[in-house]
Amino acid sequence: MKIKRGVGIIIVGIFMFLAGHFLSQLVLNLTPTINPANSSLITDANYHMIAMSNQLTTVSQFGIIALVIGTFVFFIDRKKES
Amino acid sequence: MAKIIHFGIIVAILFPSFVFLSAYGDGLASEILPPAMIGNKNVTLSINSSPFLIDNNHVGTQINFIVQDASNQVPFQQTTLSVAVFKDNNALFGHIFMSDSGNFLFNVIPDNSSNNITITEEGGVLPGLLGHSGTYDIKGPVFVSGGLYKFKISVLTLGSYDNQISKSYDAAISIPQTNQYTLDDKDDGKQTVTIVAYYDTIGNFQYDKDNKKMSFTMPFNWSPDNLKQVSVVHQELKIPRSFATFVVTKYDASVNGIQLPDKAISIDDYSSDEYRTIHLILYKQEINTISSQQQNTKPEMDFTLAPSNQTAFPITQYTRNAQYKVSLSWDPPQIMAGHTTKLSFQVFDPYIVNKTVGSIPYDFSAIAGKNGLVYHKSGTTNSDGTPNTIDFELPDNYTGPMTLGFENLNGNSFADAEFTAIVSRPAIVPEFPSGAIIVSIAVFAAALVLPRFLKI
Repeated sequence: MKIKRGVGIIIVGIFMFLAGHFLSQLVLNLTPTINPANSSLITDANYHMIAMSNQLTTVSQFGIIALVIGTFVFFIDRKKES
Repeated sequence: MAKIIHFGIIVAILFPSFVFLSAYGDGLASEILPPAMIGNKNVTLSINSSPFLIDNNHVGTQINFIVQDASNQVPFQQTTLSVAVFKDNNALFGHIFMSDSGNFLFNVIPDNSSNNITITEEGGVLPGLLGHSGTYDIKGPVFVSGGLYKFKISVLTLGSYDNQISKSYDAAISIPQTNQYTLDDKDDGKQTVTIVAYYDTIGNFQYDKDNKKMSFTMPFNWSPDNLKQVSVVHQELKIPRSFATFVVTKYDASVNGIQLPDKAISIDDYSSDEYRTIHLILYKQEINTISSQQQNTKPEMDFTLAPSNQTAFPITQYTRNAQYKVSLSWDPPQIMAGHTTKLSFQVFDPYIVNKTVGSIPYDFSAIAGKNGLVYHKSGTTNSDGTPNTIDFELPDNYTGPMTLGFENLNGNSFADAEFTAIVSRPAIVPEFPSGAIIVSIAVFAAALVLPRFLKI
């Protein structure tokens, strides 16, 4: 089965967008925050997980860009075909 | 047209934050925590909560955190907070909160129906995708009961989500708790006293009927760090007006055995016709004084309240419209039914110390419970500022609370002030019983005479 390149870019964009966003939220929700004893381990985990969440958010934002590019490519290819 | 609609739908899907903008709200109760240097920035955390008074019946609370530059109060952008909430040393919830603007708004919706606390970020279908509004809904069993809720707030990023920093703040929000206690007084019978605790939950309420003293306990952390942060501890006691023993002009109150100054005890006779409200308000200065003088090392405040043996004259009240300040005293200090009481009063300018207002007309009324008006007088205050006097005799069939009201000061119907006094029953001096004298004489005479007749 041959997938049109525009559709392929859109599918990748959707995947990046959804995976990036939901994984980013998941990481945020899993970040340990109850730290009454001021454990440095938990504090370090906070920083690493926030950095990870931010990177995943960036992935999801790239997904949006991919969606937009894919849409353009899809319509340009269709115009060329016609 | 269809293309425009399609374009609009695509924009709405791709940019949900533009479609679902969240409103920001500012609180009323506020606190700005001490600033701290982070890098070359002087950073402070501003906390606001709304409504100002969160009571047991509240339906929602908004809490606003702003991480800002202490020098110009401008929020830092792209701030990340780790917030953990504790009550009674138990963790309620913790979560990471992010805000592009540095302004955080938490809509706390108390819900007892579930044990889970859910935290959702506002901002459309996919919040946080194109930015963080900083507005979150927190739903669950949070703030459903009164007491002190402690917040441990760690600032994780500042200025940029990539700029990780380490700074923690401790803050707290109190939810007033209302408790009712029924006590049995020797003179006034069963009475119900209501205590509204504005700082933390109170307990162990006791009433010493012999010494006429109430006592109760509240947890309190006397550590220097906590003393730095606590700005006020407030207890509100509502005493029924029928509880005559406790409707006095002055009270003796203590915390952990340390006598509270008079300025920490304020009497409110305005708010309710049924109750007298006594406020015990400890500001930072009083708390520090207690901390330095007390022998107690327990993490609590032991409050006592008792009517004072002294009479605090003159009693001062502001008029309802704050136009005048009326000071009142009476002689004898204990108002007696059936006796003449001499009132002495002055009307002051509330904005200038010890300046009387000169000659103004007034109406005075004495209202004694169900008996209604027992005395009324219209007059004019002395022009030279000397105390004005009113002599009036009380009916001998009334004892209990009495309202002394000054109305229509200078013809203004809003310029009125009310004072509460207690009419006591005069001490009845028992007459020596004549019948007993006769019986005693007869018995004594019989004791002398009978032996002779009976030849005992």
